[in-house]
Amino acid sequence: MSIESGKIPSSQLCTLMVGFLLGSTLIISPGQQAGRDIWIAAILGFLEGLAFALIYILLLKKFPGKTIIQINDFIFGKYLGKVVSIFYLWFFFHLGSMVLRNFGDFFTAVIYPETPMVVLMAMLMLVSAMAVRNGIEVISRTSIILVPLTFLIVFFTMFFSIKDMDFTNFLPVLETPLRDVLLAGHNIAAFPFGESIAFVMVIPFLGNPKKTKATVFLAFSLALFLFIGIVVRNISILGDTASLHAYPSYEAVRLIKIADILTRLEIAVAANFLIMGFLKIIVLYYAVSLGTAQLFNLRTYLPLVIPIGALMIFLSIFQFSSNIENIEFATKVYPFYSLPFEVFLPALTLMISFFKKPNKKRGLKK
Amino acid sequence: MILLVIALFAGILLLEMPGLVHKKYFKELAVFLALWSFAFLIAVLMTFKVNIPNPVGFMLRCLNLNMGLKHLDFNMYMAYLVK
Repeated sequence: MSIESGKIPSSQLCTLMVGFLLGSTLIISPGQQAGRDIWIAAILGFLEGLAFALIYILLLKKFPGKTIIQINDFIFGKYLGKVVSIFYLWFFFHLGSMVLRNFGDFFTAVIYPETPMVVLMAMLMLVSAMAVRNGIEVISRTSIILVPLTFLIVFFTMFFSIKDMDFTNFLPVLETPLRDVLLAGHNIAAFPFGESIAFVMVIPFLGNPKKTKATVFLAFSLALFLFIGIVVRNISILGDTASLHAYPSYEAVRLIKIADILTRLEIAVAANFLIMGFLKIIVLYYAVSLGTAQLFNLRTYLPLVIPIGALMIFLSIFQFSSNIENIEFATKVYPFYSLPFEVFLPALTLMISFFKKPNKKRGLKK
Repeated sequence: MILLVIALFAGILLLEMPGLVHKKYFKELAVFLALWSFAFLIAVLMTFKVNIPNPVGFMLRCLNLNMGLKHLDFNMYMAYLVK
């Protein structure tokens, strides 16, 4: 018996993945080490991220309709499989709490300085809990409304800031040392592209599994397109100072001023982050809730949703003492910390799966 | 504040528990109660401003100790920033 009975079409998986990949990337621009060559780092990161995604796709193709928790039980055995699954669940949980913290930090820093962070986080988590309790179909349907809206907002802000753009800010190309560009490329691969590992809990519910590869590639391409659009806007407006700002997108859009009528458009960036951050949090929240229920072989994940959400809020509050710590962790430590979860464990699972014969009794067959 | 926390967590308990008991989902109830108790304990400790060990700091220390990855030293970056 499956805990989740919903099925999602590939178009909704695509929009959900785009929303997920652009979640906090809209605010915290990864790969800042590359300076004005960040667009090159983004392409490199995209290619590396695609290689990561290929591992997940191959793994899910070998075990159609099974999530990573169920696959681990088969590949690593009953006990070791549970231990490996706990690592994945920790990663999804921790990542969710970091995105939540980004959300709290951003909104308390720029929009609601007097409001306690926990109140903003609790409000977002309440809505997220409702979405998660409604299942994967509702989550994916939400994305198909919200993601196009974000695309529109980004295009409008780019259009209105054309007059402030100076494309000579990109010259000279590749002045940044190659090592820094490669490191930035890896950072972008780890955050956001590699984070698509969370979709090993979502892709099994895709209505037409044959479209998985094409859908993931399209989602990655759209996310790259929008990400490059955002960094081009930020660097062409802010120049070298883009990397000095905690929230470069917010600063860049703040400069838009058209005939004293269209001003203070930075709220559009905040709206974007609210939308995409929400999508990212609900995917991770759903992955943790469903994964925990599968770990303990439960018949439903619904009662676990609210306690997990509460724990996510608590971790997001006390894991970092300030916004700077959070950004430093995300940009400098996270690219290495995430590697075992995003690459090593899935690659190991895939390698073992080539040698392990399917066990039809346990319902896991090729 | 502590009364608010108790009321919130009692609300969660009242929301979930009757349905689980009625359906005889005892395994689900056990996992729910374990998570709920853990969340409640942390909430109470945070309300009383007790210093809770940070799992992220612990994890980073493990990385430094076991793998010798000095470049992952979070405190080093913090010290650099403060300078």
